[in-house]
Amino acid sequence: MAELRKIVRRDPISDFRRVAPVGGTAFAGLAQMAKEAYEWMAPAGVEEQQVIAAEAWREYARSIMGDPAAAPPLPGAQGGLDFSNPPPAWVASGGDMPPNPNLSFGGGLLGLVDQTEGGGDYSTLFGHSQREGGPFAGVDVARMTIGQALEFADPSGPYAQWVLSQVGRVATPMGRFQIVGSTLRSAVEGMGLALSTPFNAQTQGAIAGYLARQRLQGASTPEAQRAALRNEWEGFRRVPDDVLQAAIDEFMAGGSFSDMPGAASAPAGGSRSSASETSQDAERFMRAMAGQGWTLRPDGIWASQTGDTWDPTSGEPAPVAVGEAPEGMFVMPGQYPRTAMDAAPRRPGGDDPLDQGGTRRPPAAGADGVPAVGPTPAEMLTAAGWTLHSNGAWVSPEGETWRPGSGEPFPASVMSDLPEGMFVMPGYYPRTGQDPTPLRIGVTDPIYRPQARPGSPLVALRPPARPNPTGTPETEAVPATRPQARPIVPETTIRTAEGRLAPRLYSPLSGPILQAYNAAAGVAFVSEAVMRGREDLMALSQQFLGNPDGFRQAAEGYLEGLVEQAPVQFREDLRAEIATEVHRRYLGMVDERYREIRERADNSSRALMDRYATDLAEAYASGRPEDIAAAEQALEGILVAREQLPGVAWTREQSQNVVLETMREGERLRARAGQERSDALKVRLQTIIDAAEAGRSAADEAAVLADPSAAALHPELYAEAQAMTALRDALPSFRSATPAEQAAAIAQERARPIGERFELGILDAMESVHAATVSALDDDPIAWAQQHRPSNPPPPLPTDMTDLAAWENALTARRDYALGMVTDGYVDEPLFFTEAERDAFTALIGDGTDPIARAAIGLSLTRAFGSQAGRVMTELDAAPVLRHSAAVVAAGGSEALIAEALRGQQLLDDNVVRLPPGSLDTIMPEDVRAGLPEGFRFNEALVDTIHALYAARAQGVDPSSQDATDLLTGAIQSALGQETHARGRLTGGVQEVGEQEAPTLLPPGISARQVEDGLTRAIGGEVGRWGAVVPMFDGQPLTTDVMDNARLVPIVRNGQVVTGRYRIEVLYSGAVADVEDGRGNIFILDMGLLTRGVPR
Amino acid sequence: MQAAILPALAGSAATAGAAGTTIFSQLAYGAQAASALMGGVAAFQGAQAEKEAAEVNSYIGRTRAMQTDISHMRGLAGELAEMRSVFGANQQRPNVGTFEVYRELRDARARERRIDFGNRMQESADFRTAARNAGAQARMALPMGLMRAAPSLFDLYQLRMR
Repeated sequence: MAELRKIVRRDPISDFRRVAPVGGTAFAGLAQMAKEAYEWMAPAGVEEQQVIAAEAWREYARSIMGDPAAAPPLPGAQGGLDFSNPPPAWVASGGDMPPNPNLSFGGGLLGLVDQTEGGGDYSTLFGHSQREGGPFAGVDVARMTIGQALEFADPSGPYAQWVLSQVGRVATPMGRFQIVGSTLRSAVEGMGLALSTPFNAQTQGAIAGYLARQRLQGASTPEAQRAALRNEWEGFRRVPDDVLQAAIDEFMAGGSFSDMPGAASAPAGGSRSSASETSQDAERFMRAMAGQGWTLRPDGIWASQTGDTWDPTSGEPAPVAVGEAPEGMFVMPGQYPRTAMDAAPRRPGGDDPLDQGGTRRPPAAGADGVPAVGPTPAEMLTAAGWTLHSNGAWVSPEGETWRPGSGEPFPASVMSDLPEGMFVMPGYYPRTGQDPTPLRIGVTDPIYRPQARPGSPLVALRPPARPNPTGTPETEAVPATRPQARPIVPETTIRTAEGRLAPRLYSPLSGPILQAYNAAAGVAFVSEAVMRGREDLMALSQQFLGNPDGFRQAAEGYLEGLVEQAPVQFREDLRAEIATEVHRRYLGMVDERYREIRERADNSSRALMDRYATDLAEAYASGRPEDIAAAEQALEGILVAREQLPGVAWTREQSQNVVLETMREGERLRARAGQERSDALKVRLQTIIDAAEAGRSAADEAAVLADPSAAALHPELYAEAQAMTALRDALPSFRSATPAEQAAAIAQERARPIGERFELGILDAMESVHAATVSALDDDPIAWAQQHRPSNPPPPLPTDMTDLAAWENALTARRDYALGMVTDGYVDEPLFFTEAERDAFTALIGDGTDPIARAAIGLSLTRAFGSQAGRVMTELDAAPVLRHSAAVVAAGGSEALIAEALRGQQLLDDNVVRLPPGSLDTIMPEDVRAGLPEGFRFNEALVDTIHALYAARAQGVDPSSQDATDLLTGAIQSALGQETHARGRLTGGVQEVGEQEAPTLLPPGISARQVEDGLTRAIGGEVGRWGAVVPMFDGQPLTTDVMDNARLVPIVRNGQVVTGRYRIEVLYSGAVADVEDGRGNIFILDMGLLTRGVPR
Repeated sequence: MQAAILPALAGSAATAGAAGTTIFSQLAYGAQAASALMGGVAAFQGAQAEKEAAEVNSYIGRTRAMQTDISHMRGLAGELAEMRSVFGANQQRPNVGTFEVYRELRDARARERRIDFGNRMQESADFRTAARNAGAQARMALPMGLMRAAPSLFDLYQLRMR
């Protein structure tokens, strides 16, 4: 037993352990990780949803609120886009054009652009300002080149500045696609177009296509595509997403921006034959051409820099090498570059399918002649004149509508135009007779082709695929598929505590992330709508200035319209916010109205107060009591009313100040009236004085002189007027008397006893007149004579100088008149012209006048004035040459001297002739010098005349030669009056005279022989040739012996020779003595008298 | 680290939101749904393991009860045999008193055996009950996980379908 105890355990219970509950730890860990990830990303999700909601709902708010240019429909106003109701509303660029029922637009991006931007016109400017009556009427950008369009779109130009004044920012939209200048410039640079390329329909379409493709190139999602195009064309922001997306998809599948010949259009079949690619091909072709220096002229002809031209319609090969085209492309003769898949040549302007302007037009028949898929419903509808509205509905010219996808049958009226072999089952696509399976259009948008599925009858009807060079079939062309619809989660509808049904965006049971979207959406939409609504309300209030009730009524209508457009879930908040804004603006307008009323009342009373104060001041100035009383009463009344006017705070003290100021103003007016009366009397007295001085009477002379106030206000003037009138009446001829006669009359008057007081002033008046007469005669005697010698006025000068005889006679008469004034004692020295005449003559004979005309005038003056010619020339300040030559002519010299001297002077002025070196003294021959009397000076006029005569004769002569010296000597003699008589004898100048052959300066026109013969005759007994006095020498009359030793010396005065006057010097017993008269005075010989009747 | 990354995420979210995508929202809701679903799986697996462990423990407890019963009966027999051998050695003849002692001992030991056996059996029954409960919990864990993921999936659905 003991052994058993060792081997048998006392407690037989097994030693099993309990199993621990272990399991699911891995998933628990993953769950924890996912939870952590959620907590990590939830804030980012919330932020993300807030951003999306804010952007989307702001955009949506903007879309339903519209742009400022297309404002939401205000009560009683038109405008804005409504994509929910066909037919489409016309929206002009700028939003100010009325609907044009004659215009219809196609579908796709082109139709949307037409509806929202350019209105289908390639010449469209902002606000259609290019139309008649617009500020840019007559401007047609479609006829400009790109360079001209860019210049027209200059931001500082009139167009950009006009748009700036319209919308507050610079913009220069142009053409059908409203391309602005900056975008046009970048597109032109990107496409490589020349500035000379015409900005016509074809170019605009190509540029628009380029811009759209550039925008869509980097957009991978539909949202990004829409945003990209909306950034390019703002008008697309008013287009709903689904409509715009459909147009984008259509464009991407082969649409274009042009319905013009040469634009993109694509036949079905061929992997590279889509319209999009073809349009791009056209752009590539244009870029390739431009890259090689070719430019497209306005007439459609391409021109190269070397002068070559290429007409796309001529059939000639395109100048761009095939290698320029993208891979797989080639250039058909006269065509755009095409792909190898294009079987039919395309000719712009001809039968090119590109010219059809359709979209995704299938070929007429496949290779087997079986018609392929027929025209699309869109093409059929378009061909039948239907237009696609931006909301997706088609509208016929008669107003019939058909909406694809609505389940309505395809319009039966369109079916009749089907091509041969085609039919349309009601409610189906047009199909061929071989199409066994009608396609129902009630569920599929006919704008897009149905997706070709394997086994579909559409696939069997297509032309067979063309093998490519590798032998493998080309990928079958897949018709454009309808974009995958984006189902919209129905809005969650809840019932509120008030028992009303209310929608929500995301379910209230959603998590915080979607709730953030809901909250942000509401805030964004309402805030954006309120902000825009506030702007609209401010604009609306401007239309109801001063009419708060009218504004409130209109604003409530606007509010209702706005709320109806808003999503249901936001209407309540939006209504509350906008209503608050309406109320605030209404209160503001009421406040403004009241303020305006107060201001108007204030302004009105102030104006009346000023007017009555002025009336009272004038009444004070007039001094009439009845006027003062009436004005005081009126002013008091308005001041009292103003004191009681609410809001003005006018006090009684201010009224008193007004009265006091009015009284001061009255005093000022009275003083001013007195001063004005004094000034008027002064003027009238001065008029009387002036009239009396002129020997005439003023109109109111008697009344003014009888007015005691005139004597009181201006005693000196009054006395002078009395004296002047008395002098005029007592001595009518006093004013026209000579100064000497006036002085005698003054002396006589001074000696006469005074009878009346006013006679004291007569003497003063006489002295005044005398002083004025002396001064006037000294300044301008002819003018004085015109005024004071009416009975003997100076002869007038004719204005017509063509009648030379009459002209010279008038000048001669004037000379005689001036000399007569000297004779009569008016002046000591004659002046022949008035100051005005002098100025005119000075201009005529001045340096600015042609030398021939100057010579003619100078000659006529010389002829007319004769011996007074030198004086006349001095009076007229004639040029020295003219002055001297005229004096020589007047003294008997040749008249040709004047013209010759002036001509030579002109040559000198023009530096044509150079004078001989050295002075006249060194050049002058000794025999000439010996003939000049002592004291004779070569004055400026003589020297200039010598030089001028030399210049006239020395053309081509070397100035340093002996010929030049001889010519100068001759010029000296000519200037001194020497000339050769017709009989060959010299007259004038320095000649040898007498037995001693003494060099003697003779007067012009007198020869030495004449002098000698005259002396012989005088000595021989013709004593009359000596003049009044017989010359005596040594107490005896002159004899031949005496005269053999005598010489004639010209009389010199002031350095100048007195013409024709000589003294006789006799060399006697080694001394020189003058011949004298009988009284011991030096005998003066008159050369004219001596030589009278003596032949030359 | 989270604080440093979140602003960057928010910025990315803004960028993504500007482009119209909801990547972070979808990821967040996906993570939340996955967390719920995997939590359900984890609960299912845990409950299942607990059930199996409880069942094993219940079996062990029942075995121990039977072993305890046998041990008690074997001890009683030993004690009676020892008493009989003592009485036999003392030449004492069994009488009423002797049988009374035997009966008293047998009653006491039987009572003790029943108590021990009952305790062990109760212990086994407890484990069996726990296993049943864990099984029931395991059956409900997956549906519960799915239910907890439902809101997130609903949000995700809304987000994807919007």
